[in-house]
Amino acid sequence: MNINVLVTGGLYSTQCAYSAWRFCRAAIEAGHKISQVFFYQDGVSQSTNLSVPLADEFDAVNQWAEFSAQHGCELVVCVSAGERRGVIGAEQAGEFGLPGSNMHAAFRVEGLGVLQAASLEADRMVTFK
Amino acid sequence: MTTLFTLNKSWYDSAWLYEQLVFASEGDVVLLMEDAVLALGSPITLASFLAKCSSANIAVYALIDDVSTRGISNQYPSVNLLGYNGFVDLLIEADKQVAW
Amino acid sequence: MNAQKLMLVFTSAPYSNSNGQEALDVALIGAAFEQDVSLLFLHDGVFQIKAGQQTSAGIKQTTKAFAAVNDFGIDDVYVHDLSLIARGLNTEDMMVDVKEIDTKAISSLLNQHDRVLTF
Repeated sequence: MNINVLVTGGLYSTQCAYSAWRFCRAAIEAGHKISQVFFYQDGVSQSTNLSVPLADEFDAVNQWAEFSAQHGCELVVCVSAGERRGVIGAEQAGEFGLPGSNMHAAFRVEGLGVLQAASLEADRMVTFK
Repeated sequence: MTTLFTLNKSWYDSAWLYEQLVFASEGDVVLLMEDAVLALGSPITLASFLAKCSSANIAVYALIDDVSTRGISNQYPSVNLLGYNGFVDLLIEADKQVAW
Repeated sequence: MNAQKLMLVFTSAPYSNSNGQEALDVALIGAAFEQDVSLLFLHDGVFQIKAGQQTSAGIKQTTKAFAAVNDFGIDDVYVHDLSLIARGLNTEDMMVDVKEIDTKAISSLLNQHDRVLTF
């Protein structure tokens, strides 16, 4: 089945990233498809390329990037949720004249419509918060 | 239509939700994860919630990874422990998920 | 695929966090996609639509938009009866026309929806 994943919990401060990532891997192992992981609310922080976890800690950002590369799953960050929280892609940094961008290249920025469209196409939707 | 209710909030913080049976009804499934597994170690805390679920034919599961991470010893035989693969199966078997 | 029945569930009070605003944004996008969108206010979420909110300078009254959800094609707005009673509120305290429903009715309502997102 085609599963759409929504994550809303913050990087490091919640278990959200780990729970969602474990679920996604188990879904792939069971033969399902994760079409998209959509990062909303504080979940947008899971896309930053400036996080430096300790060596023995879960490296959510890079684990998502690796998961996406291996299984062709799209990592989509909500544009308005990211802008409000200072999670910025390269294009936005130019648009707003900001001193830099901080979104990992494995992620891309989209509006909430992309979440809605993915929900319509998916067989199941699951939220982690 | 059946619904998978996932719950990541501790009973000690969110008793109101448990009192409403997490808004589940007959045939639905509840999965306790993250902090929701904390009360599994106390033989009285979840007794009333689980009895009501049982009489309403609502199956209750708990994510074993979160249980063992927290050093909890599950006191409730009616709560089935499962891994992330079981979690995936529950989502597929249900029509949708509601995440509390 | 045909239109989905989408329900947004509001469980937290306004101002102290962004849940209400960001749930409303999802609801409005759903309505723009011509989905069948309904709203349910539970627990402290009932304060999102309490009438008489007066914000001071610099704080946006994010909840104002709830009074106009009908204009966006969202007609089904539900409130949990016990959540109102426990907070000394009734449907007349709400800024928008609501249907007051009990726990059992909420359970069957959830079952009738294709997608349910809680905030």
